[in-house]
Amino acid sequence: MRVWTIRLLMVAVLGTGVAVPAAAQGVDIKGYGMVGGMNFAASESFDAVFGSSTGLIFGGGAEVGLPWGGLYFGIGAWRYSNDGERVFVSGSDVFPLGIPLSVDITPIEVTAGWRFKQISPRLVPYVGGGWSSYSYKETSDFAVTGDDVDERFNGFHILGGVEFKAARWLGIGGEIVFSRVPNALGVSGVSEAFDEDNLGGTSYRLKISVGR
Amino acid sequence: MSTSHARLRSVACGVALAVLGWSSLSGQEPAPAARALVSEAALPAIDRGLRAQDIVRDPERVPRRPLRADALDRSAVDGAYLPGSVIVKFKDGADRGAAVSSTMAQVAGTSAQQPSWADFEIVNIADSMDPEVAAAALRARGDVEYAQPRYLNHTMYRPNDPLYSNQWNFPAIDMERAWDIQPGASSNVIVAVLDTGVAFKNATFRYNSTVPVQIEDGGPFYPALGIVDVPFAIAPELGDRFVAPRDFIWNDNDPVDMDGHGTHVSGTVGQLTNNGVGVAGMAFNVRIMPVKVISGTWDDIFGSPFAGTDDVVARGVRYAVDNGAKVINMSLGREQGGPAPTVDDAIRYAVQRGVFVAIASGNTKEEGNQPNVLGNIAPSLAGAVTVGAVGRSLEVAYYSTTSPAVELSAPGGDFRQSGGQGSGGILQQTLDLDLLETFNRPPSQFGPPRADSFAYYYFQGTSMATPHVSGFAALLIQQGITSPAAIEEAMKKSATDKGPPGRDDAYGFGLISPRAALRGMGLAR
Repeated sequence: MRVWTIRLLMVAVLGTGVAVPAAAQGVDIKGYGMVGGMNFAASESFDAVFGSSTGLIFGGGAEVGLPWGGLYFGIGAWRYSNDGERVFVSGSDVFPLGIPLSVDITPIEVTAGWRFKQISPRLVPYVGGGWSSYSYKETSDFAVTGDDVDERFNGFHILGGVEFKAARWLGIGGEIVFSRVPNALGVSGVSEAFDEDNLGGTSYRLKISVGR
Repeated sequence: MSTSHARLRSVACGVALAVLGWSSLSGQEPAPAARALVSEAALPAIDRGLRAQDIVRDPERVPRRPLRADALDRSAVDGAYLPGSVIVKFKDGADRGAAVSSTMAQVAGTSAQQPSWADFEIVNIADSMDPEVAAAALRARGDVEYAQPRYLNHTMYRPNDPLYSNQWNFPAIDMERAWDIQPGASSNVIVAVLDTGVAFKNATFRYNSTVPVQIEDGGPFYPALGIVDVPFAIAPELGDRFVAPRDFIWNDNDPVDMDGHGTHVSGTVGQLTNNGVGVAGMAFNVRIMPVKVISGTWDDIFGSPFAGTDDVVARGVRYAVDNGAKVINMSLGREQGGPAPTVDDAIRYAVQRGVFVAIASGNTKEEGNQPNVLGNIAPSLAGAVTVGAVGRSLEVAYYSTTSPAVELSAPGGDFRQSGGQGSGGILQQTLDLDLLETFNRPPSQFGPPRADSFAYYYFQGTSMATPHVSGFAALLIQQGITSPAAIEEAMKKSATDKGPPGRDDAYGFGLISPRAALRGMGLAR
């Protein structure tokens, strides 16, 4: 977990680092770090295993604003990690089994969007959407070969948010991201019992960006 | 003259005792004091190790014929049910007094009594009246919920001669890794073994054998032994972890085993494990509740006041539930006779109170393939399962009854799958049959049994498969799956499908897979 945290922060910092010199050519580049919460669509499954279907996420990325209107492209990554326990589900009853289980979800999101710069110089709403690739790792005690999961699933996301320019190089924003990653779950385990196959959900993110 | 008088008195006493014994068998409580506890002190149990050369018992008859000379000429007894009484349950709200009176009048009843741990009546009828006819007449009454003869049940095993000390059955269902997850449950879980009793007590009992017996049709008569003291001991490999013992065959709290079946079954449920001695059991830390509801050959010889009828089995189920059992193992049943609403009711009573029930499917595949009547309720009741047997090759055992009632399979042994070797059976410690079954010897060597000597025997039967499932249930309860319906669902979902895809009549939903069930579900897998 600590290693991943460092990697994601490096992405954010590197994004921030390359932003400054490129801005002079009319292309806006900035890096950002973000923290937020994720409401997983597979709510019953997450609730059964972790006791909650929401969780803390954090990550970072970089965005490039092209010189034509408000078009921008971004790439980012975030991470959700939680420890729970294996269960057995019978109907609506969930029986915790006391066997530790860990899940790590690390999505990469590639986004294209539009910034509405003309509304206000300091308050910039934006919308976007794009492709997501979710790395999903699930490990638990007493596993043998084939029991644990380490796979990647593709999906899409759409988002909307607003950025407040606190200073020329510093922005603070909030955004809502809706993501759908079908057929990632639901083949086995709790998610099959609850017939939930979507690894995505709705996340609320606070972003701090550096750059133009 | 005086000698002939004495002989006459002796014969008359014998006949009186025999009649007393039989009348109590066909009637109800109170039971005569047909046995007495002589001493609760006894010599330590004898462990005679693996018995590879002992006499092989023939498969038990289905059901066992009457043995005692005083019963052999009773034409009303065809082995399927007891004469002279029926089981009747009146509907809720019926005026019991009036209902009993009119019922008695209808079937020429002589008395009616509700026994302990029962919600039904035993109505005594004339010996000349067919209980099935009487029960059918009573079922037509508006105030009767059900009425049935007192069908006799029996155990469901086929003993085999032992050769190798090898419990193939546990690796076959991956128990080593299952025990990594859940090492043997704990004493919080009580498994009731409804059977022929269990070797649970050090004691000496005095019995009175008053009537000659004939073990096999056309075979020799074995003489009455008179008053004999029989030593009993706790099976060394079961340890001292018994709770709430109850004997419905002798109507007391000493369900000692004089057959070996119940002790063998208890061993599969929870034989002491990792103790450096003998063999292992499924859930080796549970407490075992011995509930005797089946009479063995010696019980019959000694004139036990009750036999393994449906009402006795039902009372055993209810007793186990009311005394804290979480799992009930029923390696017993019957293939003959009509439905068993009395036992069905009791099993429902158990499941509704959070008790899981495992029932043997029967051993009649090559003898008409009639299913165990007591297991017929299981498919429609979440929380009770009927269990079939597989052999060492994990194929269905040659004797395992196939029927729509079979829901799960477990190792029950099959010596044919091991080339006729005894090692194809299920190995557990039980009573030393060599010293127990003296009725397998010539009459000249017939003598009192010993129930304080133990050995390791391979048995086979759905009786042996069922305690695998009961032990499995105990492990699941300890792991956290406490509802009977959820236990059944977990077992079915984790089962390894065998035979045609999906459920089938031979394997049910498949061979049990304890590790998979105990490990439960992750988010995605």
